Amino acid sequence: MITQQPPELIADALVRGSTIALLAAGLTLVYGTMRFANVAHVEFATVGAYATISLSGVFIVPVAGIIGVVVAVALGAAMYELLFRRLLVMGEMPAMIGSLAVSVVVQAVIQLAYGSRPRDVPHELEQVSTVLGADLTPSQVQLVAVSVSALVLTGALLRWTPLGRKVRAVAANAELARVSGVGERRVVATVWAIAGGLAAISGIELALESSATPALGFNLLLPVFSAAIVGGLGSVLGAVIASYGVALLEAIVLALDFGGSAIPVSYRPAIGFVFLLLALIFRPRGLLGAKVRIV
Amino acid sequence: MSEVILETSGITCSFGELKAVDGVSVRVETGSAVAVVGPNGSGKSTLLNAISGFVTPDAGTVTVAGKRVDGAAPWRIARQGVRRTFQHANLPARMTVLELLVASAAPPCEPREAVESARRILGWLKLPQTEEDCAGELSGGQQKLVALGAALMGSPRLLLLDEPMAGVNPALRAKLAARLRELQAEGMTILVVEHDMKFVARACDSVYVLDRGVVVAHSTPSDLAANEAVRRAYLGAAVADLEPRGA
Amino acid sequence: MFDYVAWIAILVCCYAMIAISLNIQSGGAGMINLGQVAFVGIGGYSVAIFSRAGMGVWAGLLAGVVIAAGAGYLLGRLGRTLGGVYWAIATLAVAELLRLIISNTDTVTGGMQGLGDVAPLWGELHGTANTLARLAMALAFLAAVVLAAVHLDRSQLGRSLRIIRENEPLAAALGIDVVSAKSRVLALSGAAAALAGGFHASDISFVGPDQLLPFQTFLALTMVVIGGLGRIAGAVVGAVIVEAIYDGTRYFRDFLDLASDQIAALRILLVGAILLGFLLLRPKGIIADHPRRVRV
Repeated sequence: MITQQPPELIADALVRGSTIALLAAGLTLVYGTMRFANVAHVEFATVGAYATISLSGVFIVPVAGIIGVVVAVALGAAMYELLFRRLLVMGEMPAMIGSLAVSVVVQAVIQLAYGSRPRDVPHELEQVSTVLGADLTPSQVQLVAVSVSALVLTGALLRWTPLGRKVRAVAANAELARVSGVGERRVVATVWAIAGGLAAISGIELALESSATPALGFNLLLPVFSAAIVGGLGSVLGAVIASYGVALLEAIVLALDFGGSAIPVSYRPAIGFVFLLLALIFRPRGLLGAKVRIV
Repeated sequence: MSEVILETSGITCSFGELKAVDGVSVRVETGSAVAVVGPNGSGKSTLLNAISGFVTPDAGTVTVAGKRVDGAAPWRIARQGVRRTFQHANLPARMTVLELLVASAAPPCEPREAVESARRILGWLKLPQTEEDCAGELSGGQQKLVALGAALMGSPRLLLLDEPMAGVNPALRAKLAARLRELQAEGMTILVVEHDMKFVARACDSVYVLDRGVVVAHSTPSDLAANEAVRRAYLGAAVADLEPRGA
Repeated sequence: MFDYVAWIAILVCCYAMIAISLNIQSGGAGMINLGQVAFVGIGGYSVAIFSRAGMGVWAGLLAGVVIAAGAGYLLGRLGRTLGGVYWAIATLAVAELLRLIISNTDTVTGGMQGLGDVAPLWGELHGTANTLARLAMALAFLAAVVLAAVHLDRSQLGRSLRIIRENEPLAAALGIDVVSAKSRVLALSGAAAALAGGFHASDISFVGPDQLLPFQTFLALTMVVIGGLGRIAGAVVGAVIVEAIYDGTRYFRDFLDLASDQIAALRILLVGAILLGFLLLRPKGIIADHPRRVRV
């Protein structure tokens, strides 16, 4: 028995799914073009959130948010130049381990600077309004609106600009792209900036809608990776669809009522994982394509 | 009366829209040396991958000594006595040549026997001095020789060679060709994908010519040279393949 | 003083066992397992549950080791469809799932509180005898794990894994059943980690879900990378160094005027920074890997 009505489930899925989609889209783009499984990707969100929170004392929130995105992307660029580029030369696995280390360091620095208690942007108590049968706060509506806009913009960029076409070409086949002389450095820079920007937006909106903790990003790691993998690493559209799918699944599962008891909310991250596992079981030949075997 | 050790029938492999291999049927008799040639993109390597299990064909069958192996995992096909080499050897850089060869011995194996076999093979390859060298740090040509040695450690009945001459300097090419001829003389069955037509002409009993995934000719090397149509089609598309070798 | 040194030594032994168990996967076979801590937890909780149910700590230890070995084997078979990166994420997810289930199940596993009153493996002893017994057992277990790792290293399986870690298709083309090899090393790895976890639970008489946080795997990974990927001695050296740093910095709170969560963050930051430093400057670690001589 499901304890919530469809509009509420969909609203939950939209809010949660938007957060995941912004992150998964960027992650999948980065992996597709650079073969880099960046575990620290979710930390863009954390950095963006905390930068905005700090800046919201000085600037109005929208401005603080924009600067927050810039800070996160700039930090990401620095990380890439100083660390990730060198690690990637060593291979996919050293790069992944390195990104894990970066993830740990970023979380630790933020906790050192801000403490582990949740922080939020001070705002008045929000009026819940009912939209199409579901209760939503204004910041939730904003989250969805901003996220969807960002995703649509990114999609348009990838589809209709020459640079976007290059990015898609590289994402589809990095070797081929390299050989045919596509400007790889620009592609990498673009992808990295887009991914970082989307992630930062995700974190900022999440912090505005609820609050920020140093683990803000890390708590999203598994759902984000699950969505990116299920959607097919390298496919932005796939990642986005899978993100909302995972969020919907989470909403439904958490709303299930087994005659009095329900699944605890703390299990939420596990749902995305089970989703991933099931997807991999029913598509046993994996996502690389049906016919090629490594072993 | 020679039996057929390898037979493929109607192998088709497509990647998305592209049909890399389209209905290819090949027969290799025991003890013969068969070459598969063709311009780049003709599907030669894909065919080899399909035979050795690294690509699962969409259609068609692969039979080794009467047993169907299409769709089987590469290691299982290898254990059927089919050993293949790769165009780029990419041998492990953190293993010695001796260790690599010992690791390539077919189970069950006594380490002592494996070491003796490995040394014998290295001697035959004329590379005994490389025993303690890191396999991945040898020159390209030497790696190809060692890779051949590793394949032989499993006492295969069929060798699949993927462009053995590629990236090898002329001196080592001659060595490699000589070793292969010796193997053949001892009755080893070889299927080789190659661009080096001189080698094919000298070493192989029959040649399949592939073009865009389809077999366009199958004959002895000398007959092939005389076949005007094939020469035009093949040479026309792939003059680059016949340019002088050498690093 | 002796008690304190013994305590540190025992902790190092536990971490060294875990580091070795991780090393045979990563250094030995090129697999990155981000969920290694799950095996440790299986060992710890097995011992605790058996002990409290009156079924005996040694039975619990054996059960834990067997279950972890089985889980490791299954995880390896999962690798048939999942390549490197995918598999790493899947292992992290499995470990997190286990931690979530344990945290949320109050009955058997004690939920967030964990389980206490775990009986010691060496019987009822007191004072110095107790400390010596604990130390002796820790060293004995470590020796067992080291022996197993050395045996693996010199075996045909170890050689196969070394090909696998650098070139999987080559291994397959040479007739090596890659998935089976990986599954077997994971089973051994799981068993070793569970041994460490079980001993530790008995040693501190407690096991809790916080011991299964991803950071614990990260700590072990740091030990392996710093010490030297691929070398057993490297794993041990890494365990000593990282343990020294991580535990040594416990005393930061005495002279740094920061909140406790900030001190914790600083200690974690230090470990992470050191790992990054090594990855960039000396990726081979302190004891660099070397090609093996074939022993007959």
